[in-house]
Amino acid sequence: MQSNLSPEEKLSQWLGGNVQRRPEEVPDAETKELVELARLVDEWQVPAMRTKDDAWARLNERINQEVATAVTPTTETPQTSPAVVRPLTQRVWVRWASIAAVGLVLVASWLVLRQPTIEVIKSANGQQLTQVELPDGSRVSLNAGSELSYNTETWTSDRAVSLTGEGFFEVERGSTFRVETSHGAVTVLGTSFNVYSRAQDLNVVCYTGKVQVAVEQPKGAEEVLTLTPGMFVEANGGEVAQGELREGEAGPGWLDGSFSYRSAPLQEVMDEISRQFDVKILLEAKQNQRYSGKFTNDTLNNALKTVCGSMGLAIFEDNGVYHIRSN
Amino acid sequence: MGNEHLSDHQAENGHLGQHQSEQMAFKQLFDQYYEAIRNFLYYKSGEIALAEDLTQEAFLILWKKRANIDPDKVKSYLYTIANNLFLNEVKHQKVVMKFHQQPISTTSIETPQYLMEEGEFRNKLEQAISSLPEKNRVVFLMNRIEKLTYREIADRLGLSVKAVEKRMHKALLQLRELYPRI
Repeated sequence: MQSNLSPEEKLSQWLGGNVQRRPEEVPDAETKELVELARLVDEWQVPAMRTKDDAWARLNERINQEVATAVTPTTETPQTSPAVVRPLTQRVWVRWASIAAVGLVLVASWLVLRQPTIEVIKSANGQQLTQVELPDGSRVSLNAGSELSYNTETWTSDRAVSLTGEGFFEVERGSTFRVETSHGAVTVLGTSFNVYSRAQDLNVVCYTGKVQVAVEQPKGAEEVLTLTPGMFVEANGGEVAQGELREGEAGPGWLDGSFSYRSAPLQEVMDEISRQFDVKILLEAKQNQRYSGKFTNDTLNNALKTVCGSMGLAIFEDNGVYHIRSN
Repeated sequence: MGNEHLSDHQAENGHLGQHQSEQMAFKQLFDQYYEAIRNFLYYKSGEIALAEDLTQEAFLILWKKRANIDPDKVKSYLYTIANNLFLNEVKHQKVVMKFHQQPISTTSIETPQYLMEEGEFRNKLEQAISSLPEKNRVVFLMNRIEKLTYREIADRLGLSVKAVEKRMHKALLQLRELYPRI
C-alpha cells in the first residue's frame, strides 16, 4: 500500500499538513520514530523580547519620519525621482480603491490582501482531517464526510463556524466562539468539545471548559443547556437528553479511530462505517435493533465483523456494495 | 457607500488621506507576518535581538518599496528581504538556540527520555536543533513551531514541495543522530 513511497514522502504524510491519510494507514517503524522525534518540539515558542505592538510602534515612528521628510527612497529602490514615485502610488491606490468600492470590508489601499471571504474545509468519506487551524489558533479535526466553513473577513470580530457532520474543537481563549449547525448553535469560550450534527441528530460532548448548546425547537423556540467537562447532550428531532460520560475522557474516540456506541440504532453504526471507508453498505435486516459496543477503523473487514458478529448478522459483498443480512 | 468614504479621504487631505489608508493596509500586513519573519530570522540566527531588529528593517524596506510590489508576492518577498538582511550580517559561526517551553504534560509519550531531569532534557534537544544545518533547521522549525504545511513553507521560501520534504527528512535523520533516544 505504501511501498511505492519514498521515506520523505511517508514522513510528509504525517508532518506535511496537507496530505490526507486513509484511516487504515499506520506509519512504519522508521517513520513513526521520526514523527515522534519531530513532535517533541511542537510546544516550543520563540523567546521574543519585544511584543508585536511595541515593534509596530517603533516601525511606525520610522515610517512617519520618512513620510514627513518626504525623502527619496534609498538607493535600494529603482531610480525614480520623488515626482514620479507619488503619482505611481496614487495610480495603484486608485486601482485598488475601485475594487474596494465593490464592497470589501478592507480599507481601500495600495494593497488589498486577496483572501476568499468564506473559507470552506471539507473531509471526504474515508478521510479524517486533523488539526485544521483556524485564524485565531483554534483547532478543529473533522471526521469523515464533514464540512466546516467560516467568514475570514469577519472572523476577528466574530468567531463563528458552520458545521455539518462531526468535528472536535479545541478553542483558544478569547471572544465567544460559536459553532452553527442546522439543529442549533454551540457557544464556548476557550475549551474543547465534540459536535456531531447529522440527519436528525445533534450530539455535543464537553471535554474541557464550558459549553453552551442551544437546540432549536419547533416554532422558533430554543432549549439552552450548559455543559461542563464530561457532560454531553443528545438531541434528536425536538427531544433533548443530557448525560455524563462514564470515564474521564480527553477527547472523542473517532480521533483515534475508535467508535463506541451505547444502544445506538444499528443504521447509525453502519452509516459511520460507510463514511469511514467510503463504501456503500445496505442494512437489510434488524434495522430497528440497537448496538452497544465498539469498532475501530483500521480495516473495513474488522469493523464489519466486529459489529455484525455481536448482532448475529452476516456480510455479503457484491460488486463493491456490502449487504448485511441475518445469519 | 464605500465610494463616499474614499472620496472624503481624498478630498479632505489630499495625499495625507492616501497615506493613512496605505498605512492601515501596511499595518494589516505587519500584523499578519511580523511573527513569521521574526521567527524565520531567529531560526536562522539563534539571536532574538538580532531577529527583532532585522524584522523591523525588513518591513521598513517593504514600506519603501511598496509602489513596486505585486500584492500576490508580498509574503515570499518579505522572506527574501529578511534572508538578504541576514546574509549582510556577520556570518555567525555558532548558533545557540533557546526556546520557551511548556512543561511536559503527563499524557505525552512515555519514553525514558522524559524521565530525565527537565533542564537536562531540554538543553540537549536545543543543542541538537542548534547544530542542524541551517537549511534543514529553518524548514523543520517552520513546520513544527509555526505549524506550516510543506506547501506553505515551499511558497514562502521559494522552494518546491519536494525540496521541503527532503529538508524535513534530513533534519530528522540528523536530529536522531544528535539526539539519540533509547
